[in-house]
Amino acid sequence: MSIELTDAQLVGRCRAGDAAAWNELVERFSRYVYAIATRAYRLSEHDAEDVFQEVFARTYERLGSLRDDAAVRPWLAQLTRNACVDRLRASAREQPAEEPHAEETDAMLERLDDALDVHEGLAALSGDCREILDRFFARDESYRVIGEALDLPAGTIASRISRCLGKLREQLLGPGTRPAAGS
Amino acid sequence: MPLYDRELRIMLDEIADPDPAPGAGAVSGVVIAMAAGLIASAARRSHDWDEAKGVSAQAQALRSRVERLAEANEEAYLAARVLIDGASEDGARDAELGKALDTAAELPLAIAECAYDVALLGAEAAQHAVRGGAEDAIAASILAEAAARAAAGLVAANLVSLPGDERVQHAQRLADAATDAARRAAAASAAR
Repeated sequence: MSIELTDAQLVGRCRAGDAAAWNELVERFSRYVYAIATRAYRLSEHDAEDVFQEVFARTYERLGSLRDDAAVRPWLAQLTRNACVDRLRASAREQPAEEPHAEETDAMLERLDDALDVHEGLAALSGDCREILDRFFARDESYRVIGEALDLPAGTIASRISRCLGKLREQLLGPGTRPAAGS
Repeated sequence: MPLYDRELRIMLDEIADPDPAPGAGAVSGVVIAMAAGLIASAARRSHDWDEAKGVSAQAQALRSRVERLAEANEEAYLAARVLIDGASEDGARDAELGKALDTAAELPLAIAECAYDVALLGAEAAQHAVRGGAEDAIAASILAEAAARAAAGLVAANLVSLPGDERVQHAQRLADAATDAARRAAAASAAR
């Protein structure tokens, strides 16, 4: 299964009964679903596992009802939200608890969507760009440490990072967005 | 209250009061964060510079990084102070005190490294930012250089009981490299 398949292509293959495509679909969205359950709805690990199983079981049953294959991510998000709310309400019957505010869950979902967009954008970059961005922004490495690891002068790292960020921006926003500087 | 959540005037009062915290480590961190902010601002004003957004993003990331380091440094400093104050009464605390001082040296070292990065990024911005922005970038490089040197001094002070510790020389090299970066920043702008 090619990692470069779009969401719509992947859904199309799932509909056609491609077992490898199903595995890829679960692989691609498993962290997303799990993150909605644990971070937006603050479910326990155990409840999040249940939600995870339920969401992908429903996906398998209902993928045929998805109208726009490219919209699989928001569709999965809605399935996950419904499953989380059901789980919280079921738990509240046993032990009353406060549901998270809708604004909070919306804001967290927006952040998760942004993170997934960035993750997908990074996957489309060259290995060199992925590495330098990961080292600086995720691992908090200094220019000196990055320079030593990649055998590059420390003074050139900032410029390389900027160029890679420009490429990432093009991936996320489309071509022609790179030269516009400023804000 | 966390260091960066305090109002500036309150923080300045706290720095000036006889209590040793917030001390030089915290102040260095604040200076570096402000310098990173100047670079971000200079880049965001430089609409014709292709790499401006990337430089602004890096400046913001460095600012966030140094904020975390400065908060951790203040906590480590306070913890070490408590142990130092009690050390004469309890010899069994020596190992604990050694560990606390080690941590209290590691954090200024990381702050010095961050200061060097800000000085380097300032040199980059001084070369490409718009007029006015370039001058801010030079100032940012110079402030970061000063903070790197102050942090290097803290590393040496915290490791005074461990003569020859390589971290002291490493921090000094970072401060020297920050000086070179600040000079490059000034020269780059003068050459435009």
